[in-house]
Amino acid sequence: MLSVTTTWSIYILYMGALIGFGIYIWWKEKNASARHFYTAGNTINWFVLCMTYIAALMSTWVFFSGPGGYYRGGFGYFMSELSYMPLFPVLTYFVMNKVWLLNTQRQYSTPADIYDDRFRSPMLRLFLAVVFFSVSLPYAAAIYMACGKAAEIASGGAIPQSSAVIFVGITALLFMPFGGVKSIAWAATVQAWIFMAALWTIGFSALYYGFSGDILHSISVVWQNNNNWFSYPGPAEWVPYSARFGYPLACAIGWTIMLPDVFIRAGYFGKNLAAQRKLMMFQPFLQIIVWTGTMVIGFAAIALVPGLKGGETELVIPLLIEKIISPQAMQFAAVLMGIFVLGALAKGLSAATSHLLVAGSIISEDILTRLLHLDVNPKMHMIMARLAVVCLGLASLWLALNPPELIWTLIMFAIAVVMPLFPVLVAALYWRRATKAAAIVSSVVGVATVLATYFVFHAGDSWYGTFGMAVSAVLMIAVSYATEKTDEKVLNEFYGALAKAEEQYYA
Amino acid sequence: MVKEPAYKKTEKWWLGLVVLFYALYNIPGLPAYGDSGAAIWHGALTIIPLWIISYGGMVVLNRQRKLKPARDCSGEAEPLQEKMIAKGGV
Repeated sequence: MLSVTTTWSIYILYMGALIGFGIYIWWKEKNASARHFYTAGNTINWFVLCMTYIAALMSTWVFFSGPGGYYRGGFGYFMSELSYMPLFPVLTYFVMNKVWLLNTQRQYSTPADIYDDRFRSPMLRLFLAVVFFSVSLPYAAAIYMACGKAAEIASGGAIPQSSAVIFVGITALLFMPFGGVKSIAWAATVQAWIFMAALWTIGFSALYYGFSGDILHSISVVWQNNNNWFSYPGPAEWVPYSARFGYPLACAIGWTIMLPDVFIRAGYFGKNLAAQRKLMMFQPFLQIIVWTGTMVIGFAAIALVPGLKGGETELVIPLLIEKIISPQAMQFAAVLMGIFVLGALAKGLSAATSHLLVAGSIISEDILTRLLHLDVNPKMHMIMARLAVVCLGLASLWLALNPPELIWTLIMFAIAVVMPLFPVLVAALYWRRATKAAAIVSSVVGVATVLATYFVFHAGDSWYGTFGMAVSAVLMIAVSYATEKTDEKVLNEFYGALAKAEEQYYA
Repeated sequence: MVKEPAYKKTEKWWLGLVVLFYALYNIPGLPAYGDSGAAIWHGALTIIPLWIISYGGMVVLNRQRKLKPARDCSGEAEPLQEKMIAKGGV
């Protein structure tokens, strides 16, 4: 569809702009501390906060499995997603705003920092570091692979996936270590608009050329020919009652709160509490914009190219462009394919770099600094932070070029495996009686329960981390009552900081 | 006796109603599998109120719980007591 030259030009121009921007932020900010490098130290304004948050949430697969998911899951799948989005303001108000308040007093760098501040346990920090790291690195690798796939599809196979993966991976390596999270956040602000515009343009173009712009007619065609698209459990039976509950819960807690790259955005980035409120207010709407755009593509595909099976459904965007739009408007189809490549690239880079940066913080802050007590001066600390990001960037590039089967498994349950850590966080914030032993036991057993849900009971596709989270909550209470109370001095320090912050920011 | 601030009551109602409508959306057996019309009605009657409650509660809470004038908090943080935490206790 696109020539090799055009596809490479898009990649080179976009990545060149990113590198230039990273260097500019590095020159302007200098990133005086590792905390600033990793979390921007409460300096991100509300607009950038909202945009970097939505960009970090979505992966390149929004252009592949996203439309394919709606193709197979139907409108019920979309409704299940509509049910978790309004939970975000509630979860942010009761949980993440308190994390933010504490961060203003206690200067956290990694997601594990706040747990350790409350429970004072190196063992808990190590376990959390392993869990958060395990969900970050494979995610970044998978996104590189998707960027490569986009180039391969757009060029009709003329550009091998591996060449594009190497190019994207190396460019990200040149971009990330310079500006740190601030350059990623600002770049993500632009990237988020690009991929949202790409989704809607592709979806409506398909409907326009397929049905001459008559959306009501397209609905009536699907209603007549594929009526089960509008009902539960959907055409491919993706949304039985169990998944209708388990999947949105995993999205609300695992995906939009507990994945480490979004955790630090919702808890550590915001410039002030007003920015946090804007995040609560706008985030569900931004998600609607993204997922509705994706759903429109899936809907257009079921209306125009029904009968696709399995992996074919993940390629509905290029299929719509080639089979529906190109015969009627070849030049415009080529432009759309360019938009598809640019959107996939923009999306991929913002999510991959976010994951890599948080993975770097886990290595340099959680492991080297806190657990191994590596005592270095601030300048050396910054070099260490940049080196950690470079090493992990290379590791994820290698993973993307040599993907083990396990990588898909890790991504599949990434949003589930972090769910059991949520009750521990809630207990840390609200319950003085919560103990270190309970936090360790409920985290470990909760995560083990999620693994059992997937690999022993084979119910992960429906229930995700629901059982793991429930087990974690019960154990958190039971073990806390069975173990010795936490030292009052520790509690007073932690809750005193929270009370002080609330007094500072609330009238 | 100190009177409980108004926002505390709103918080409880907000959380309770959001949980209630999320539960209503998830009642097993409703709507019946394969019934497209019922699926759309069921979504309209549970998901739309869920959105209204979520945003309505947020607006009320924001009005009741005012913020102090916004200020940059990046330079105000107290240093984290790294050594104490690293040792795993006090």
